[in-house]
Amino acid sequence: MVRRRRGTTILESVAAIALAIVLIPALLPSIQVELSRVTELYEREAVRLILEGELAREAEGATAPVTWASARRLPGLSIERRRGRAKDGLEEVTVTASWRSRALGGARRSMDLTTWVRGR
Amino acid sequence: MRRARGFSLMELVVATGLTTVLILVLLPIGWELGRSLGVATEYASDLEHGVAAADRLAALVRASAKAVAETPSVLVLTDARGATRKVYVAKGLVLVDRGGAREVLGAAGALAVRCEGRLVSFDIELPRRMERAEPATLSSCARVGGS
Repeated sequence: MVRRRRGTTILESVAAIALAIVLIPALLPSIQVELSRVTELYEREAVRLILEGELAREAEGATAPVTWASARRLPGLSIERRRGRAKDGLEEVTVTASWRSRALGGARRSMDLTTWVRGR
Repeated sequence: MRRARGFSLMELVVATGLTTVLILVLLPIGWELGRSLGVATEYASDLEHGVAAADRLAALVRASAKAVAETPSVLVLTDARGATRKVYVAKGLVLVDRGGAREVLGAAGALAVRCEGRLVSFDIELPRRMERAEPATLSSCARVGGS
């Protein structure tokens, strides 16, 4: 009996191509992860600058709340000022910001900055 | 007798067709991914330059003795010796003009300044990279003569 070597069938080829179409994009870096990292970086820097501004306002005695333009991209941003212990005429001031991150996961993040201002 | 079988014409046509399909499907994906990564990289770079501009502007304000918003987008700073510096945005750069000598503070799409007593609030708008995208802004405030 003559044994005939069988080549690839069309069905096998189609399955191989379909797998390649699915697997090759899966190997590429995820754009979502990359965009999420950039978003997170922006949020951290925007919040740091806001907190520095809040501390400058606190040092100047401006207590009225202010609307920061960058807060538009920081959903649910809340800022809290806390005065701590006073020593040698200086008072400890901590400003805490918390917001809902737009990065992947969308967890609530927070950041705080502390400085010492002349007691009033 | 054992006969080694090569590709038939039909198999060759099918293989070529499937390879073409594969390329046609993957090419736009790769192109779109490359474009998006490029935009993300440019955005990260803009952010870095915008943050540098914001930090340096705040430092300039703190080192000044007087600040006046000449227009909503031009800030005039005067130091203790009476020398003035004008801060504004031109051609995507935050510039400091010291009597004709210009220094680049960083990159930005626009600058908005407000003076309120010794406090100088500013918004630095980053260049808009994507159509319909909300502009990203960096806002802060610094105190004239502050630490």
